[in-house]
Amino acid sequence: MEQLNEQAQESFKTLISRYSEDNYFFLVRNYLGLVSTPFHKPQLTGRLCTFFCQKHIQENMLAMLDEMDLVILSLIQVTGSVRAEDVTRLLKSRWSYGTLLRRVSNLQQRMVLLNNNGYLVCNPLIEEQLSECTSLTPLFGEHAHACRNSPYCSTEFLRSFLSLIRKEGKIAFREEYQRHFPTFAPEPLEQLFNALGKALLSLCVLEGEKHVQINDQKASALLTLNDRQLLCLLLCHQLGLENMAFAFDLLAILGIIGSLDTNSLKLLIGSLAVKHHLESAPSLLSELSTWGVISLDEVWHVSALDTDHPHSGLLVDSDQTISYEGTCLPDDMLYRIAEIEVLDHQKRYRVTKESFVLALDSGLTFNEIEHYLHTNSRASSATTLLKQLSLLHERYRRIAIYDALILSCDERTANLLTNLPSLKEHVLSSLSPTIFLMRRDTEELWRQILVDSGQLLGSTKRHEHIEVKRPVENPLFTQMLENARTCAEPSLPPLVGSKPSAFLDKRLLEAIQTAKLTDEQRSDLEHRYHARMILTKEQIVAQVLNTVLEAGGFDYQGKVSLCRQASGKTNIALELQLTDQELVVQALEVAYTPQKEALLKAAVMPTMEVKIIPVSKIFLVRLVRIHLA
Amino acid sequence: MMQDTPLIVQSDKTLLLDVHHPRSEECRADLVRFCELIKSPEHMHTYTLSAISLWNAAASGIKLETILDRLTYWSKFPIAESVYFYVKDMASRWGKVRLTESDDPRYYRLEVDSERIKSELSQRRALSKLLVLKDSRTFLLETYARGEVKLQLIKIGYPVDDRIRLSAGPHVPLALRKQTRSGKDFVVRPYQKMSADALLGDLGPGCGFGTIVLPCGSGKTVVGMEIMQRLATRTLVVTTNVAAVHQWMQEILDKTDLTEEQVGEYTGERKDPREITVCTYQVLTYRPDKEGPFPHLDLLTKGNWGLIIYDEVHMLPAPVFKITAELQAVYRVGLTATLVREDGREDEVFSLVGPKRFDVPWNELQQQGFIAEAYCHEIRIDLPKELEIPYALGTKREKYRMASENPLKLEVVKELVNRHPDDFILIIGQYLDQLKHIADAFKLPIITGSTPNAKREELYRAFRDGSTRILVVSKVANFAIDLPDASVAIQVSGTFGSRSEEAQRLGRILRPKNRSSFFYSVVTRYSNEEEFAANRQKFLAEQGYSYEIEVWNN
Repeated sequence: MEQLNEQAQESFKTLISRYSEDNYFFLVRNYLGLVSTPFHKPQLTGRLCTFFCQKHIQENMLAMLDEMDLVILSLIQVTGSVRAEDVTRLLKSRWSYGTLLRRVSNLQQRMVLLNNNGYLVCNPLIEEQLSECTSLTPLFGEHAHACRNSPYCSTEFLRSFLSLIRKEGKIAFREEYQRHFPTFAPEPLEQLFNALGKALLSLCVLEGEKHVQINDQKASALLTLNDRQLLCLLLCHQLGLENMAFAFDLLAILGIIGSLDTNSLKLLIGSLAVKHHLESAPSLLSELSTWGVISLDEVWHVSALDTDHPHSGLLVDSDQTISYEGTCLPDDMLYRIAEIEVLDHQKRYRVTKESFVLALDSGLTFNEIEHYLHTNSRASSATTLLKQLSLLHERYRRIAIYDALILSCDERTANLLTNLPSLKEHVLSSLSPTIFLMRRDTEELWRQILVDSGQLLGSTKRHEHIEVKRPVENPLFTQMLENARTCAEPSLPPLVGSKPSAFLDKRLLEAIQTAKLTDEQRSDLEHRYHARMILTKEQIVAQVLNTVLEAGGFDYQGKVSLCRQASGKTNIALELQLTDQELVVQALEVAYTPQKEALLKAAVMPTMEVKIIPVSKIFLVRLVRIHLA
Repeated sequence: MMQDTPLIVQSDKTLLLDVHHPRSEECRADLVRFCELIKSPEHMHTYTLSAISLWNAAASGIKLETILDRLTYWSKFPIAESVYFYVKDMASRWGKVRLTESDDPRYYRLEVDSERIKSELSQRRALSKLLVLKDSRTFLLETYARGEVKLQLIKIGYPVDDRIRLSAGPHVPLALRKQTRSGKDFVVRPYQKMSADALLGDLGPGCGFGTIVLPCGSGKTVVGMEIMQRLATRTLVVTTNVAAVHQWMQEILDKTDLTEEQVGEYTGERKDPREITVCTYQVLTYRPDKEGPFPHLDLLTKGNWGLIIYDEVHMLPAPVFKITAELQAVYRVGLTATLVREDGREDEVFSLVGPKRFDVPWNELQQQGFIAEAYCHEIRIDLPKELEIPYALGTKREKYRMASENPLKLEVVKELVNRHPDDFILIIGQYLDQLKHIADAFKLPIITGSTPNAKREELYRAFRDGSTRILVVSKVANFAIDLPDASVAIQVSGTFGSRSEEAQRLGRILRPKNRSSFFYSVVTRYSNEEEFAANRQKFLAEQGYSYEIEVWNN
């Protein structure tokens, strides 16, 4: 703890010492009072640090936090360090740009936030306390409820999907599939089916066009993921993102919030895009809805991701159905040997002759299937089924059809084919001592090995050219799979935090009002008091910091003077009240017309569009310190 | 959140009951009040929340809140919103359309609850032609159209609250004996009483018609007689064949105090209607030429019956369907073991004869000893070498016939008969040549469709009294034949994939006795008979029977 404190103090000192002299002394004078010359800057920084390390100071700072502060701080908890522009952009639907800009600036003046090279970070001295105050509710949780038990693209869904694809050989959705997935409404099911088919084709888990086949190795790898990992992979694949942390954070926060409106959802996506440095916030609503992560029922409801529901064991009933509750282990093979009947609380499959043959064709052995059913089914419920399967297997073994090339050779070559390991792996079967069935897809390889071993080979005697299909690969698959597996659980703010008190100590105001001060000093202090920058009586000293300067009405010269004062300074903005609008601008320069009328050339924030505004048209000018850096 | 309860309510409105759970019986007792049993295999029984089951529940006074409460209480997982919605929607439809008597005896009144239903009914052609609008919420319909209107309304999702009392029919007092005429003690079993209770209810509106599903051999005839006793009215029993007619008559005379003069037969051979008459479906649907009328259907419509019992109701032929629709004012009961029809018209049976009122899992009665414990075996044999090529060249039908008539089955039959030297054995098949061949080879009596009824009776009697131990029978013995001592059935061929035939054949050996029963189905290996056999076995598999497969080494 002590070490942590030291680290926090070092970090605080480092950040503060990087501030410009103007900002640095503004803060030092506000919190430590008058600074007499000569001074030693590191010593001042140390004193400032000590000031903020005091428990009652920290408590005062925290007590003064109001609702808006908590929204901004909660946002920063989600996004991590963030630029002020991002804060104003993300929260623009709640407050005006000017209001947000002033508040962000105010939080910096109150030293709740510090500036780290243009990024806002929480004051490291009170970071822990701040994280206890922040929560997700002020940001997204207006409609928060528990997650719903709605259907989504789970690994169990993926298994049943693959079982259907294996049976049908097509990915196109058919209406009769609805009966297999009674928890889904027809339209979302069709969307999910199509999206999943497309994604798996693109990831090369499914192969082929007219007749779609499953790459079982890849499918098995995909099924090692849990529900959340699978959804992250699918979301990121759809968005073309390799960094899965974004999707992980998104699902984790959605899981906490449970339900939210569209604006909150957009805010969440935007915040996480900032956190994960995405160029732009992806429009994810339809994708999340397609995968069943959220569903719309007045507001968006998040599906409860069912990752740890234990498997009940297989129940093989006398009508030859195999059913279970919960989630299969990653290496479960039921979907490979049986056809899905119903996916619901109770998942029900049925082993048919066709499904069993397809399982054997896909490379599973009867022993594996037998072992699986024996070890996973309750009691001896699988005995009859296994007997039937063993009879089917016996029939299956009677005929083997190869897609192969026949190699007829002399004894010497036969010796090579039988004994040379590199050649042996290309032999599918030996029909006689000198006649072999050779793999068609590796013809080039074994030909080369034969040539290298001194054989002279003629061309293959073919009636027609047969194109050998090469396995297709998506290099991203392995990487995405690995990313999905290794993504760490994010640490997130809780759903509900403490209620803000927005406490202002009136005794301080009384102290200001009764202190021996000039009107200007008192007014300056009062202003700082209302801006929640006065935390203790020691700050009440006779000085003027000019935190805010404003001029309005008939004070034409005052307005011109403020505009000139702010010109060219990036850390100062001007709030302008015109007759019909309010603008926040950065003053570029003040020029004059031949008639001596002052014109303000300014960049309107946040678009930085340049405008020329006659000063006479400005009703009020207020100078705001926006960046404390 | 998961509870330790035996029920899973799926989103497709099926309810899965774990029968091994300690509280499964308690749960089942709640479920049967508003659900329909779909299948009852060994471990997990499936019920469904159907519109009809919910309407029946509503009709019998079960409140929607009770249904929802029981579902929630027993369900292991939270129930999907869609299920709640369905239950609420369906249950709320009950009572929105009511059928009552009108001032004019030629018409009934159909009252609807809302303008929307009225306009929906008016727009349906099938209904509008039967209905005449009387006032803003009332239609009139002719009395004969009662069944058809109810059928059409059920099709569009409106159950009719039929408040017209069924007509009682002429009084025929009868009582069940405590000791049968043959001197045996006789008592109606609890589930038989429950069946009658479920059908008759309080004899008020909405009661007195329906279907009772009980396993073969569990005594459906006794259920029929119990209902006859309670209604004490002129009764017509319609059954599948003449042998079954005689069996019904014998049973009635044996177990009730009715006299021979009160019980008559109406068959092709004898037309002698009495207060209690037993007839066949064949005689009712007989007509001399294809276009002509059905001369004997009048027995059904003009017989002044107070009760009609449709035995083996799943066999109800199409013309009887039509007439049944017109007989809505009569107490009626359908009895069956297998309410599956290969033509998929089970729903029509429900809407015309009446909904399923009682059903009980086969394995439950087996455990209680009311039906025999049966072991099913499928014996697979190869096709003889000389038939392999013809088989490969045959059409699908020819293939099935070749496989069914596989001559090597004879050897299997011989071996199986030897395996059961003390059992009474039925050898059942589809193809007459094959059956004759077996009968000739083992010098066994045979019953087929061409066997005269008198001869059939004689052979059945011989089997019952033990003078014949083995009987070869064609499909004429599939249904309604009571051979109490039969304990082994060897099925050498069957009607393609008929699920009910398989179950009915098994039913021949399910009468409880002091030994286990064995059902053998002999199937040609590697032929399409295997596939048909698998389909045939589906119904029984759903009742908890599993087939042990034996491969026969030639």
